[in-house]
Amino acid sequence: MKVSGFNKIFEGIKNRWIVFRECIKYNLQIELAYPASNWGSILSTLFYSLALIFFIEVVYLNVTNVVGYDRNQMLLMFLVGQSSFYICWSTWYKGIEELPQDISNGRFDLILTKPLDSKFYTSVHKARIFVIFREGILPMTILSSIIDWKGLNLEPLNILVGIVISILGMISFHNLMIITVIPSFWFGRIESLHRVMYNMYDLTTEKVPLEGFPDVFKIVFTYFFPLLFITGYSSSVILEKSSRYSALILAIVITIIFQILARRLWKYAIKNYTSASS
Amino acid sequence: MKKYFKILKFSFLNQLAYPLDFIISIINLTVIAFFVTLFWRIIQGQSDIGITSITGYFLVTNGISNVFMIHTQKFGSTLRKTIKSGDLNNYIIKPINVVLALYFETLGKRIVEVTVGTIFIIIGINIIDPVSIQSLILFIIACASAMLLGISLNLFEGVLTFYTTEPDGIMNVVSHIAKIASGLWIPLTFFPNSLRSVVEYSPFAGMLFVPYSTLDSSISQSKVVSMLLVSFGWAILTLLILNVYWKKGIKKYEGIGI
Repeated sequence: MKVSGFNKIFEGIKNRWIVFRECIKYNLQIELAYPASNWGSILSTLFYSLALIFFIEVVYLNVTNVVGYDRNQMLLMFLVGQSSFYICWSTWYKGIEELPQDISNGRFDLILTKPLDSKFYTSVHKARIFVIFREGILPMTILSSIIDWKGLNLEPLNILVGIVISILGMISFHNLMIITVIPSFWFGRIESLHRVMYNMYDLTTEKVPLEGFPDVFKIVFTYFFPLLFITGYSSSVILEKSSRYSALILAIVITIIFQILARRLWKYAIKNYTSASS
Repeated sequence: MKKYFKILKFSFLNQLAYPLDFIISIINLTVIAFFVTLFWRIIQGQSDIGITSITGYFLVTNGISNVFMIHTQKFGSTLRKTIKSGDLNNYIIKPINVVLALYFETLGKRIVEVTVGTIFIIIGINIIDPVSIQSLILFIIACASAMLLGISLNLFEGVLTFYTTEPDGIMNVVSHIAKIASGLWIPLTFFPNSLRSVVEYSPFAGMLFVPYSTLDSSISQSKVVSMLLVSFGWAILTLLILNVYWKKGIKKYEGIGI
């Protein structure tokens, strides 16, 4: 590859990083403006995690394992699920969630006027990394402290591959959500569609381990709605219940396919976009 | 009451402007019910709960939650947004009961959820072991109590909005507790005995678990009746208290233009 090609890629990454950083700074000011809301959010996520832990404890009072996952392993699965939630929620989720609204009230036009990749900017302009610290640290710490780490006998390589699979899963989820909100360009308000996708994400990452899915649904949530990589495959690999390399290769392939698909559909949507305000 | 049904009708007709949203809402509810049932079918494979009763349990409880907007808290959310935005002005100046008007308006917007919830309840009742007429009558009475408790939970959010700028945090805490204690996430029969006897007589149990227990032949009739009486007691008490604070809140409320 020529040097100018490398420079272009490097410039692109650098510009994206600058935009991302400024979005975080700006949103941080908004978040800190309402201290009572911050305390409310901390309480809310703390109680959610406590409710989740209570739920697992009560289930395991009545059963010894759930599709081969004992209490400890299930807690690890929840930890992976919760970590991915906070990462997605604090980086791109809000921006994509509000896109249908932005399209219908004309705010999306302002995004298009900027000399930036519109897909990237739509995703990150509501990034709030502060949320991870405000809402995520305490519940994650509590969850981590009740897991018997020694009892899990985890291998470092499996942990690393599991984390990579989870990150690829989050990227696929991001692309899936973009595909889900794209119909808003034509049909206007279509919030229910992204809510369906969010509920599917919520339920595939927190309720049922990978091995609990019937084969048909495993196929659907791997190849058509790639939500199982975020928690299902990643925690299964970390716990040595699935082959790490085949899961990794599958995750890479699916992520690339959905990245290309989302990019193409986005470009098509922008080309056909007729602004609400002009 | 005619005017409230007219409010419901107009609110419903408003929703029909977005038919795709309408259809997808049905899919959304079905997806949630499916995953919850799938998880518990896995659990039932390792415990002694009969497969029909667990599926029936979650269909009935999810159905009740949707019909009376208990855990979706759409009514509470409507109250909160109306108060915060100042739109409450439009309701206060009219000769209507504000709470009832907003309740029917929300009901109109959520007609899909109400319909799907009703279908879930009917399917759930059919799945559960043969249900007697007596049980069905008790179930309907218990649903009335569930409705009142659901209104209380949502009204609590509205009342909080008068007194705090951001009631989300407190409401979310109450909501998480309610989801566990009402039996939405997990049947109360799974709880340890010591905890179960406390939770069963809490106001939250009256929202979902008590209506279901009227259909479950494994729970004695006397216990069902006692839980039902307690849940009605909670419903009346919470509504009375919230009514007082709602009226105080309205007096305290400042809207632009009033």
